[in-house]
Amino acid sequence: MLIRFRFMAIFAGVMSLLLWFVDLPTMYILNNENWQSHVKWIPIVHGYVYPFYVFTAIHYSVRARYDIKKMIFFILAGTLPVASFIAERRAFRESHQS
Amino acid sequence: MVPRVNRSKLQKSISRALAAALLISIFIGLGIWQLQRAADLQELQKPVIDKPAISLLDIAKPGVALSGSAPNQIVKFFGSYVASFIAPNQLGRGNTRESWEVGIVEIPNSGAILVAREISATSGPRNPLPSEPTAIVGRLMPHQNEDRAVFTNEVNVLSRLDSALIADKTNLPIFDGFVIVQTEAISGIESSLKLISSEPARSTVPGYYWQHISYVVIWWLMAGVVVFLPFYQKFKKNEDSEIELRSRN
Repeated sequence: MLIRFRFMAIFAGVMSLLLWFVDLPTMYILNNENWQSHVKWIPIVHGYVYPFYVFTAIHYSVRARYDIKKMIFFILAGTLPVASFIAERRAFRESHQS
Repeated sequence: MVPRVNRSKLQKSISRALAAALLISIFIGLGIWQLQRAADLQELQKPVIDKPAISLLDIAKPGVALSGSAPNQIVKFFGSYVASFIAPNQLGRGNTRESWEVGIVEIPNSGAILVAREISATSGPRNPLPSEPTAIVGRLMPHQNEDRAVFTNEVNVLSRLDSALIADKTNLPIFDGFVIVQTEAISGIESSLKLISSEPARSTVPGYYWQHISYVVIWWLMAGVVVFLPFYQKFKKNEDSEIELRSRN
């Protein structure tokens, strides 16, 4: 369960990084149609990865008996580039402490 | 009479339920909005069926922005070329970049319009513009907003096809948009031109691109999460109190 959450958190984090720092600048700042055609897949993959991340985060939070605030943080962590990495580290640390 | 403690608890519950209902309706609404945009995009991607050529003057007026239905129509008009330009780096057939020969055509007693006449010859002299009045049939396109080439002060180079760039080249009022020539005839004799691809212009749904259809799933999933969280909170509370009881015993 922890391994599944950690995998999804890292995957969603990488996709968020690609979306924010590769895809969006290419689409809205750089005016190069060739590059734009190469990054089109990023938001689509990100769009499909995030719901799976949310399911995994809910499942993990319920099993770890987190309170609502922490669960919401874990769910929303997939939307920001670095937050899901922080969530992954926190989950890893807490599981080792317990 | 409702005791004060119960009343404040009731108020708290009602405000929480209202906030949850608001969030749920917002998330469901965002999903529906996304679906509508996907439907709009599909509608725009349907193939355009060309209607017979109609007079340019029937669907456009000089000095007035094109109406929503005017772009992509096949139009015909009669006039004389008065100036010629090169429009470099335009998107041609198969997404190749090419330079276009562009002219200003003055339509008697009406106005002037930008006409993309043919693909520029890569070598050798440019075709001279006809000096006699010319009958033109072509596709009316919306003006270009973004420069295709680096803006230059060269007099005969147009960085984009936009009537705003030729305002000082004619005394007549100018039509919005431009026409890509399909046929050009002088005194009934058709000119031999290296025709530009006149594929219909495709509209886009602004901002649709990164809000892919998968985001419908996300919005509705968020609505589901808002429904789930209060139940989870209650479940956790019950479980915590059970654990506490057990530990006391």
